[in-house]
Amino acid sequence: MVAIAGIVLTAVLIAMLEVPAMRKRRLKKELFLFFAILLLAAGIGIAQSLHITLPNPLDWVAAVYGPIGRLVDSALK
Amino acid sequence: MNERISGRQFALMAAYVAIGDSMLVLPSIPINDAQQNAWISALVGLAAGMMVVWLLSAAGRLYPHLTLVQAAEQLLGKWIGKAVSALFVAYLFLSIGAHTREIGDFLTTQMMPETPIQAIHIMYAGILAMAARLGLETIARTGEFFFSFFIVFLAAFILFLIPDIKLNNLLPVLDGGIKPILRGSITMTAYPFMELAVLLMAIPAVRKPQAIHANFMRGAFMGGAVVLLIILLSILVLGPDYATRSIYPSYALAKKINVGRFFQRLEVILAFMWLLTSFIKSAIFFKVLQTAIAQTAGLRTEKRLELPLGMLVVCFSLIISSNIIDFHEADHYWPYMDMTFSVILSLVLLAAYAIRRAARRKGTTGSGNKGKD
Amino acid sequence: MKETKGKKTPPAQANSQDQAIKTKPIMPSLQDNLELIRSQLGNSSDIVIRELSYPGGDGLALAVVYTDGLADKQSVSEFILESAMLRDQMTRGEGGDAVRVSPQTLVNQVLSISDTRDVPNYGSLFNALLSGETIVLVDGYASAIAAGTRGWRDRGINETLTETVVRGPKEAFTETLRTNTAMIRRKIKDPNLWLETRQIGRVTETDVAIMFIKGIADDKVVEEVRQRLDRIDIDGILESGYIEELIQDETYTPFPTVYNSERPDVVAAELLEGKIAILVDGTPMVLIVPALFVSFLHAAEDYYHRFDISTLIRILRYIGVFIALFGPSLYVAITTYHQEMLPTQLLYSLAAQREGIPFPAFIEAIMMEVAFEILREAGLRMPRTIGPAVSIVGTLVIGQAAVEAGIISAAMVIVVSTTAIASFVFPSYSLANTMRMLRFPLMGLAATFGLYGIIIGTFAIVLHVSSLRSFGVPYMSPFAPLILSDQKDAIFRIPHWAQFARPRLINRNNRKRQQKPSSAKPKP
Repeated sequence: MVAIAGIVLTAVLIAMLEVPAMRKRRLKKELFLFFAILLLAAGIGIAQSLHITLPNPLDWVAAVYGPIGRLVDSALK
Repeated sequence: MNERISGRQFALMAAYVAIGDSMLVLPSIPINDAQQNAWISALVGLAAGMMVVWLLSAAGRLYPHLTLVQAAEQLLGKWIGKAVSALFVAYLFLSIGAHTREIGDFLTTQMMPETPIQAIHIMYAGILAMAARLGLETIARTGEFFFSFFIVFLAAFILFLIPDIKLNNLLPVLDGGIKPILRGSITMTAYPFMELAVLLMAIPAVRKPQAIHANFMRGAFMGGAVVLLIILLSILVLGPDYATRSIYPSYALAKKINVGRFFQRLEVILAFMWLLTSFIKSAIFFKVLQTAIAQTAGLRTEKRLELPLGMLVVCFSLIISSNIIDFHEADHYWPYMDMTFSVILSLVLLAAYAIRRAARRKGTTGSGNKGKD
Repeated sequence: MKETKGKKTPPAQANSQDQAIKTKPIMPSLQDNLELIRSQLGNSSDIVIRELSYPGGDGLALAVVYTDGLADKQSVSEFILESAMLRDQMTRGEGGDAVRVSPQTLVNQVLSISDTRDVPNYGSLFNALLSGETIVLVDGYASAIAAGTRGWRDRGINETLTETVVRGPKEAFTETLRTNTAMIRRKIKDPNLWLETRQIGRVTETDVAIMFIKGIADDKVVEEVRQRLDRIDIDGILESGYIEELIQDETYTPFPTVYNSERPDVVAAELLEGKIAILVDGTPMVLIVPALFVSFLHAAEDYYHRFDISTLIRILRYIGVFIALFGPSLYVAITTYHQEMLPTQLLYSLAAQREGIPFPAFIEAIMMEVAFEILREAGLRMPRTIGPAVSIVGTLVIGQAAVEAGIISAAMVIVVSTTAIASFVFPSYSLANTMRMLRFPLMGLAATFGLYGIIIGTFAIVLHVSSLRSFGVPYMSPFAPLILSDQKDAIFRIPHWAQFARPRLINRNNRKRQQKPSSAKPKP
């Protein structure tokens, strides 16, 4: 519970720090990306503290490159 | 990109990226595969690595005033270029997450077991964000500042270990044949050298483009040599048996230092050295990530995204694996991802360049456009 | 004479009158002028107006105005009044009629004062008057003369209190700008030593001067200094510290980017290296720009003693930096998280000491540090008579008692005292303040994350410091960027006969300091 509050608080703080300057300079694309990344991070963080198992990108990498790795390993056994 | 770096700073950055996390994490892998011949693996890796760097340098110098992302768009067309860049961004991001995780793992297992790993990651990401905000020049200068300390500590480290060297540990040589040695050399080529691809994003910052090649090679060599030295020392002092069993052989090495009764417990200095090289490497990666995102998405300003990125890195580094053994499984396939974004990417760019030039020559009938690019 | 009242629209309503007066040209009628002067100054009792008028309509009529206390009365009497009166006697032609004299004639032929200048409007008139110059007004002419009669009592050239040396000149700057510039000129007799003065501060109109050696100093930096000074728009400048804050590169840094010194020899040495000095009337602290980190760790004496001892002492200073910054944090980190780092015997005695202490190491450290800072500040303001007694009571008695009462461990007292004393190793007070401030966050990091925290904190500090620039020069040169040729004067102090070139980033043009090989060294 505390962790979730912490994550949300951090996200809000970060937004408060950076957004005013960005809005003043009307950086729309940047703002969009900013919030996208922020929300993604917060989302992952919250999911993690609730111990929801999340898809692990490393698994995707393993799926792509794993076979090559195994091939080379066995060739050099 | 409006940063300005000198040739020497570029070489230093190459050295830092090459040493990076390899100093701590790398030695156990070749030693695992090739046992006491791991130093030969390292030599092979060094040689192969220098060739990789040569390739990277060639690709980078096609358009010395453009970053990798910009060059990709130029050479491969807007959409394919952006797709490639997006993949590159993902690669960078995964790398940073992995680096952070390594630091967290190391600290929680070896030095500070009671500290929650999230806290360590948060602080690390925090300082990465700060570094990126301050810019590549600042990162280069910080690296320069610490470099003298690093050399001094490294020299002292080696010096104090000399009494414990047992040359027998190198024998028997080549007993397993060439295959285990080759297997061990894969990570040695990948982690220090292929990951130097990241510097292709920093090439426009170098003040004198003609200094790029020499400094790139020099820095990479220096970094690779340090890693080789560490692997060699690990075998010589710890012996292949013990070295295989520890995840962090260089840390184990540091623990062994016992000069007089005073210079013990100095592994903390090693931890500092390793944190330093890792930090500079990660900082470079992070800054490059920021630039790459900005250039791929066509943003007007590079800055201002560090904090959310940092937060994402923290979260990411925590999902990456449930425990440390799992994570090190990645050593079996990560080098190939490194290879994709260094060797294959460079070859693609070089090929595209050659094709374009040939097409241009065919297209113009003797109007002397050869020297255009 | 056109009235210029109300032509400008200045920012502050209350000052609109003053602004108009400032640009108003002098009026021809003597009585009008005197009336205006009197009313502007509110008939201040220290403004003296001495009128000379002679019978017979066309007689010489002039007035002399000066500020009692700021002008040298002797000069006024002898060189202005006396010469004017004598002249009057001599110019009486036949019939006893005086010949009308213009201010120009006064300047050229009558007044024997050493320097005069023209005063076109009231702004400069008041400025001159209130700086101690004497104003001479002639009836019927729309201009005035300001005669150089500055002379007030000042502290006199004393020994420096804050930057003492064992070997070397002991004189320090005073609060008078002219004395200070003269002291610098005594050290550097090159005609290329240029001096530019301006007045800064809307109300105080403080004289601020720039000095630099043309040809050695970088012209671009000089121009930058000029621009930054001209941009200052503030009520008053009372001390060079005001200027420092207003022109420094970065505001949000604890590190000083402008060097200051009280000693003419230090300023002269910096000028010789191509830096620029900013002198402010009213304070002996002269600013030097650009300032690098290494400047704050150099002392004048380094160059007067032999190179071997100077190098060693410099190294000692750097160790002092390390202790001052990291002392308490390392202690807290090691005793809390990394006890295994200490040799076993030390560990035993430390553990024994910490046995009865009710506070964790961090709280103990904070308490002691704060106590020490209080003592230090109090020591500055204590009257001389009570001072020693109170510090003895404070430090020895209370400290001892606290240890014996079991509130603080003896080791902590040692650590904090050593840290404090180490911080006095800095020749420059500004940097010592920085270290004082940075110590506390580091302690906090040490208490929460042990050595990892300290390492991260160190990275943060180095990152920050590497990003600073002082007037375009990277703050941490020659460490980062690493300039090997300048290492000869950073930590080491290579002998004078080997110092061939000036620091590279300060001046790019004129780098040769002396011929090589040194011709002064006798042949063995």
